[in-house]
Amino acid sequence: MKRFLGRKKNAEQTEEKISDAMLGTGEAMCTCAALVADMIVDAGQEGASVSALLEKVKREDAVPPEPSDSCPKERP
Amino acid sequence: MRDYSLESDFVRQLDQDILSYVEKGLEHDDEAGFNALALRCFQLQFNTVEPYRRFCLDKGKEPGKVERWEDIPAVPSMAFKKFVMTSFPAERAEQRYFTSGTTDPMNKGKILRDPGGVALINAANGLLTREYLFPDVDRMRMFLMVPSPEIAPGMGMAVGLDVVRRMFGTPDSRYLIGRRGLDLEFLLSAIMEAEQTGVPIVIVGSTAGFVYFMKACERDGVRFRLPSGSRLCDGGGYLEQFGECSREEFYIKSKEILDVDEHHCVNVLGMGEVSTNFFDNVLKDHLAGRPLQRAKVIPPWTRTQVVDVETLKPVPDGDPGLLRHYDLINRGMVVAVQTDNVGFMTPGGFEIIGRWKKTSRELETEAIKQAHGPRFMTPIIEFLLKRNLKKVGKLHEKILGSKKER
Repeated sequence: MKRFLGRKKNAEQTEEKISDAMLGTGEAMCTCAALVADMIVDAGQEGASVSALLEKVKREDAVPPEPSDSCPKERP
Repeated sequence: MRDYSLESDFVRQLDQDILSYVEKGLEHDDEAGFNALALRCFQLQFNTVEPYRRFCLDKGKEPGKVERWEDIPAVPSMAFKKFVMTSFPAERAEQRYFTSGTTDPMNKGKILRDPGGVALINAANGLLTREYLFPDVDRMRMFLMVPSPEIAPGMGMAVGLDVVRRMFGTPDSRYLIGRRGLDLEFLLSAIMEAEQTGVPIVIVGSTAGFVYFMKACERDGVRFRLPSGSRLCDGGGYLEQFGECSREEFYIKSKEILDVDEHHCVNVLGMGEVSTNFFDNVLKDHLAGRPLQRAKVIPPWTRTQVVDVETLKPVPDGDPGLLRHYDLINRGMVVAVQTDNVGFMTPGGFEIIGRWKKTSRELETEAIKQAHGPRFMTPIIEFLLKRNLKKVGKLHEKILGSKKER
């Protein structure tokens, strides 16, 4: 069904043309910032207490990095 | 028909000539050279990007008839969501970015980049990053307020900042956003470590992430003193997801919470549909002893115009309108892009003040707030808006209203 709808949509799009009327939608093309914000919200960090974390960091002296989040290896 | 494939002499020579133009640096000003390259890009794109060709023909514009870069038809940003706007076959793409497709999940935006296009982007944006973010240091410990490309391969900001990390970051640089969101604990420890060692750091990434972090610190009364030379680089707009935050407030908070002065806060305008990033001049100007007059710099391989919202003709310098960019680095897409961003020209470049939403024939503040935060309260903006009351009268009234409320 989804594929069918996708094909139908594509078929409709072939008839569509670029025009200046497309301006003014208010939509951002690049929504990277929104995605980053979503990742913060999805992680439920909105209510995270910075001061409590700060105390924890002070106590532990150092924070081991999470393996999954570390820098990727250099690409060739 | 002429061969316009990626292997063709036409495209190879064009790439080489654009790269040479970029490598001449940021002081290089060659109007005739820019014009010639822009027209060659137009020829390529007219002949290879079918939706664009039809758009141009509707306007009566085609290669041979267009002699000036200003006459190359500019494609509305939204076209990149509706069509694949590439001058090469999609299967040849090295990079693929997608937008979130919030309004229509079936119709995500697509930005495809071929290897030659990626090389142009890295050369151009590398030069700009050196000049406007790291003019005084070779490398710096970098914390990236974005996920890594491994986590978010389709996010342009993640891929672009990975290049920045490799070019300018020290080996202990790190991403702050992982699969479990922002690693706040690590960020705090990194900031504290910088305080202790006195080695400056740079935090780069989504404006929304900065707003979230600084508001959380503010709420909890947490303050830091980052070493002198530390800097922030943000992009992507405020979005209001973590509450409203104007640019002025952003810079006040960066000073209060992180002890980073405004001239060390570099905002970057980056868009999927325009390959070149537009950097604030403030850090470079500060280091050169010039006064703070924030503007987005227009590099020599680009041109920016501000056009009237109704006629789409350029407005007088300094008047507000829609930003239109001509970017040679867009060889793989279309060289001329008409955005919905509202801005105005300044002596140092241009400024962006929001995004236009066509609910009426007037500019709407609501959309502007959602896009980049209300950054209006400067005398020059107030002056400009007053000059153009016919179009932005409603906007101006709202601004004055909000000013009184403060």
